[in-house]
Amino acid sequence: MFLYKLYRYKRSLFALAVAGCLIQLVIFYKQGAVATPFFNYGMYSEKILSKDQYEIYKVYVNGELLKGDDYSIQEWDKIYVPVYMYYAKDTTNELMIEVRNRLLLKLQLKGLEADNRYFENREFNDEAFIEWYAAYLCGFSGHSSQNIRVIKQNYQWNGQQLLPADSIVLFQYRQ
Amino acid sequence: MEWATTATGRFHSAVSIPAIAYRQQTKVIYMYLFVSLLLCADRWWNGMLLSQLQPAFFVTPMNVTAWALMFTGIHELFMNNQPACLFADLLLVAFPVMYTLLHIKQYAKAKIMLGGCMLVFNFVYAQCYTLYPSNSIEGHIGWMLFPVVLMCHRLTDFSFALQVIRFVFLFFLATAGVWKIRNGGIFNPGQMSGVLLLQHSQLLATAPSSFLAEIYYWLISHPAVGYLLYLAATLLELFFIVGFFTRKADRWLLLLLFIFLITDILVMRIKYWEIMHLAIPLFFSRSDLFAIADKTSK
Repeated sequence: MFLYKLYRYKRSLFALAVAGCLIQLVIFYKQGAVATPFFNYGMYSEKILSKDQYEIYKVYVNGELLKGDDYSIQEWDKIYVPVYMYYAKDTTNELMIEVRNRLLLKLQLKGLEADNRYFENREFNDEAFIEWYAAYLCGFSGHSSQNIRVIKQNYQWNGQQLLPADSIVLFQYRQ
Repeated sequence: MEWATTATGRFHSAVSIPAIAYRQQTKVIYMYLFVSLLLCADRWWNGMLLSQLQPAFFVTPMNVTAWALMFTGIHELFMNNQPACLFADLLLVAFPVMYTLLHIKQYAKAKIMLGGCMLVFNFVYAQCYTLYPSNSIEGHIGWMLFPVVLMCHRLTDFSFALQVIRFVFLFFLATAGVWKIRNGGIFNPGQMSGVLLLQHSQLLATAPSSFLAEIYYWLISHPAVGYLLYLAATLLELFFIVGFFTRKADRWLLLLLFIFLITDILVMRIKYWEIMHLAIPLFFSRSDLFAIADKTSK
C-alpha cells in the first residue's frame, strides 16, 4: 500500500499525506464549501430534472443576435459568462461574506469579519461594466461596438423545445 | 562488464538503475514542458490567457482558500491592469521552460527553488484567474499540484511525488463516478435530459435550428439514450478505481481519459484538457522511475 511505503520512507511525508486525506474527508463531509486544492468533483452528480423555465442571456450586436453555434466553446463562454457573473456578483459576494463570517466566528478569528475591502467590487458599477463589456466583446468577436443590447429572457420548456417568454433589457450600449 | 536488472525486467549493460531512472525523470520533465506549452497555446488561441480576459471584476466563490487569498487583495492586482496580467502570463509560459533548462544543466538547488516558486505562482494564478469570468477552479488542479513533483530533485522523492500526482488524478475521476451514486444522479432516468437543458440552454435558445441544437434536442427527447450516455460516463469514471490497486491498467486508463475528454467536448461542450498535467505519471507508471519508490520502501 502506498501510504505504508511512504511511512517506511519518510514519516514527515506520510504525515502530510494523511493530513491531506483528512482534509479531503472533511470536504467530503461538509459538501458545498471547498478549500483549494481539496475539491468535490461532483460533475452533475445531483439529481437534475428538466425545469419549466430557463433564464437566458441574449446579446445583440448591431441588431444581430449572437448565436451559440457561431462561436467556439470558450468564445461562447466569454460572451455570456461575464454578463451573468456581473449581475450575480453583488448577491453572491454578500452571501459569501456571510458564510465566511460564520466560519471566522467558529474559528474565533475576531476582527476579520469587518474586513471586506477585497471582497466587494462595488466601484465597478453598471456604467463601468457596460464600457468594459463592449470593448471586451468587440476585442475578441471581431464585431464593431456601435450598438450592443443585452436582454434577459425567460424560456418555457414545453417538453419538446424551449419557447421564448417575457424578457427585460439589461442594458443598451451605443457608441 | 556490469549488468543491472531493472524493475521492468530489461537488462542494461554498465548503466545503473538510477542512471536509467534519471533519463526517465528527464522525460517526465520534457513531457511537463510539452503539456504546459500546449495548454498555454490553447489558452492563447481561445483568448483565455489572463491578459486576454482583461479582468475587471470578480465573484467570490465558496472556497475557504480563496477567501484566505482574497484577504491579501492580490486578486485586485490583475483587475484593469494589463501589464500585471501580461507579466503573469509570461511567467506561466516561462517557468516550465526555465525549469527544463535548470534540469538539463543539473542545477539542483535552483531547480528546487524554482519548483517552489511555480507551486506558489500557479496556485495564485489559478485561484485569481477563476475569480474572474473564466472557468472553474477544479480544472486547474494539474497546474497547481504538479510543481510538487518539480520540487523533488532526489529520484526517490521524485518517484513518490509522481505517485501522489497519479493518485490525485485517479481520485479526480473516480470520485466523480462515486458522487453520481452518492448524490443520486445515476438513479434519475431523466438525468441527462435535465443536464443537457441546463448546460446548453443558452445555445438552444439562441440557435434552435443549428446542427448542435438538433443533436441536443434529440438526446433530450430520448431520455433513455441520454441516460445510457450518463451511465456510460459514470461507469467510465468508476473504472478509474482500478488504478488504486494496480498500475498495469494505466495505458487503458489513459485511453479512457482521452475518450472522456473528447466526449465531454462533444456532448457537454466542456474542455477539461487543463487536467492533463495530472495524467503525466500514467505514461511512466511501468518505468523504473516508479519502481524506485517501491524498492526504497522494502
